[in-house]
Amino acid sequence: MSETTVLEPQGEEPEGGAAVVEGTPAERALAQLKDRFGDAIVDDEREGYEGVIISADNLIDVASALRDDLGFKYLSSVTGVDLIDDGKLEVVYHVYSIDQGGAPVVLKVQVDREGEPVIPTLVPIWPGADLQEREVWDMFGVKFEGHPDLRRVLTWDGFDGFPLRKDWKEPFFEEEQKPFGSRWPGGGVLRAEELNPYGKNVQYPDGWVPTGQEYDVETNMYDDLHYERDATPGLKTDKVTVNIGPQHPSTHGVFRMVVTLDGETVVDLKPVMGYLHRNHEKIGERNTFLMNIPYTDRLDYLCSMSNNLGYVLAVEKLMDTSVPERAEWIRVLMCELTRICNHAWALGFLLNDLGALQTPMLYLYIERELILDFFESVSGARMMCNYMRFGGVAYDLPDEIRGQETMAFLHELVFERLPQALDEFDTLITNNEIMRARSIGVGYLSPEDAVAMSATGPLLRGSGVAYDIRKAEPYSYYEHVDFDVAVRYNGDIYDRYLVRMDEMRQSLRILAQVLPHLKETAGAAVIDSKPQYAIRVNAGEAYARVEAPKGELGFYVTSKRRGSNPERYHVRAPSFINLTTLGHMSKGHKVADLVGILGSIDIVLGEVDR
Amino acid sequence: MYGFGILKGMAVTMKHFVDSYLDDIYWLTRGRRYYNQDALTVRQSLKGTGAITVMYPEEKLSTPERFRFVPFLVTDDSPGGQGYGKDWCTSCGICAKVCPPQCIWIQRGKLPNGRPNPQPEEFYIDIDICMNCGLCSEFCPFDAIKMDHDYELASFDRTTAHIHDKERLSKPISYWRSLAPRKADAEEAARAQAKAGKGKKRTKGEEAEPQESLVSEAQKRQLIYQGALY
Repeated sequence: MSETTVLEPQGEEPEGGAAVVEGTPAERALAQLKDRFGDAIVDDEREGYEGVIISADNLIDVASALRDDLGFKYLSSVTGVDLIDDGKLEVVYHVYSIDQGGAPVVLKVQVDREGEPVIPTLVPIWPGADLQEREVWDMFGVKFEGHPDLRRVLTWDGFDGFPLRKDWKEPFFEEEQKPFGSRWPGGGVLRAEELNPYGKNVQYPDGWVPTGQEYDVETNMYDDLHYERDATPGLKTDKVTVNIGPQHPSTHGVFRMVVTLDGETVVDLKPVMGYLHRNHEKIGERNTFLMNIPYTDRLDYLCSMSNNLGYVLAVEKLMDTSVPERAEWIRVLMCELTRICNHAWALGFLLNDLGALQTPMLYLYIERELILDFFESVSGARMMCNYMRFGGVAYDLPDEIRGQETMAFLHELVFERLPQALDEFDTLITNNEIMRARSIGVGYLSPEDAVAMSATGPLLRGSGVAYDIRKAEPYSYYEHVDFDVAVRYNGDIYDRYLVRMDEMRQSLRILAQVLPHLKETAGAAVIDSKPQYAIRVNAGEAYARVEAPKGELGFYVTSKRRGSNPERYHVRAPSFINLTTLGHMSKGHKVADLVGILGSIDIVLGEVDR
Repeated sequence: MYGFGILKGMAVTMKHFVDSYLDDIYWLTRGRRYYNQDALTVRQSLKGTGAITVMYPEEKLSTPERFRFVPFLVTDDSPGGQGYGKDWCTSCGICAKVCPPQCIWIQRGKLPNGRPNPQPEEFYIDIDICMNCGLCSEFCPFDAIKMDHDYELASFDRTTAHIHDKERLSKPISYWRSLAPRKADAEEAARAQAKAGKGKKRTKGEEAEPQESLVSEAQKRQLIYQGALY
């Protein structure tokens, strides 16, 4: 960040702004931090890296200054990196400014890998760091001093080792990086499980007994739950701790809420996840860059197109490539259709959770099916699309969809079928008195809390914070289309419902603008260079984020010079981080509302657990 | 009025309820609503109203050309029209290298003199591991591996039935043509073009021929992706 590109200053100067006026908000903020902290802040000078390295002692001060004085109030991503060659562990923070938009301030803290690496926690400053710091502890073994509840989050309590460290090997380990040598030209087929039979593929830490008297899993968690609220005078009642899930239909998968109840009122809640954990990131680091694209489909399996785009954008930052115009329009088209698909699913399930069983859900699914038909014809699969490529998309649109000419199909879908369906759904639900009674005022999240807890997407915008990455830091061709950021101000379930309805309408508005461009560019190239399977990228790091239907989906990718595999591959999953707000929102509500509150966050466990 | 919203909503469900019967009546004289290909096509298009259910397995949706489910190996048509003929696969290993879950195992053949034979000795795909991403067929330079459309692969024993060997994987080119006629035509045209280009290159005295006219393998593939050869 040493070279300051002179850009128009975006937004207003934050309070306490010094004389530096050029550069992006992030560059200005960094310059001010350097003024204030002097030598404690060092530029990250590795090739292709950005941001600053600070010492662990200064972390809290720098973070407070960023939040309070420079307007960078939104901690988006916290992740670890194992720099095994330097003997260091690094924790990377991406902090954004909600008011000014633009690129992040990237903070890095490095600690020695050996012994017990300790970094002070940022939870008091940004409560949104809670689950993410737990994840870094879980995966890298970095202790966050002062964290209120530092337990493993994605793996289980008896797990041995820190799986994202470079020297950790999984049970079915074959080689450090794909492709594996045994596949060709030798080629004797073998199932991985034959080498690691069931029962021998789990390692326990020393002294750990999976069953028996020593079995004290999760005691800490149960002890931490709050019991101290006074019982009603007169009648003495006990508080009860109840496990809702993981096998509970309203948790949208295998997700568990440990709830302390006073009667039917929620006193405290802790989310427990990781039942679908497969260490997507470790797999991603074994994969080549290209191989990761189909794996990203499986994150948020309802929105594979957005996932593809986020990952592809991150890797494109490390490559010298450009994307043809037609491919950019197709990307926008796909992402907006995905948004409609996802919200149709989310609202259907939200209503399902609120008791409107099946009917509204199935009405929206009819429309979703049509969009999936389109995806199937274009990419070959309904949900696991695997459609984006570095420098474009895999194929051009086909000639026909289900026997109808493609553009005619899209035209009818966007201008007739979907608007009608949304209007019908509006009539069906929006003014329904039962729905309103169940959702208005339930699960309140204030704008300050939403920002502090790193909430994203409809959850953030339903609380009155008009922050949409498509506007704040435009990617693809979103700066060329005209749309409004959907925002509602009451921060309850009903407003999240309305935000999603508004977003679907805005998506239709974007789609209406995309279709003429698709007609214009018909026949043009959809990929920049010839498709390659052995991609080599430049050295450095890249963080790309997209406004996925569920919120901010970020991919953090680092690579060596001419690297074929990512050195570090991290997914900032919106569903996972949005769950930070769950406990806060549900306190004081009844169990029946709890289900609705979870539904209004809209999580997908493939992405939460990764 | 309290309750008006509910009533309006119920009118919507009532409309859907009536629609499903209107559809039944419409198809009554046109060969019934279910188990009828015409009706299924309409039901599954943008014009579909009422109940849009597909009565699987009696009714099945047609799969689009690009549909992908578990790869198969393309071979020549055998002379008698039965089974399959010569492999197109040259065991170059690109599919095994590009496969994200690494489910392809290829044993390269050897000629008696010890040099590699451009044909696979053995070819295995573990379909439990295959994630149907289609990258193998996308990057195969010989059009020798293609994604199948047969999605009904349930079997009783996964340990024996789910590793497909070369015998099981090989299917003649006519099968691929029946699945994806347009794609197969485009590929054939591209192959013919590439072959013509190569043939010319070999003829002596034509070295001055501009390079552009020689469509390389990669360019050909690119044309297919762009839809220019469709």
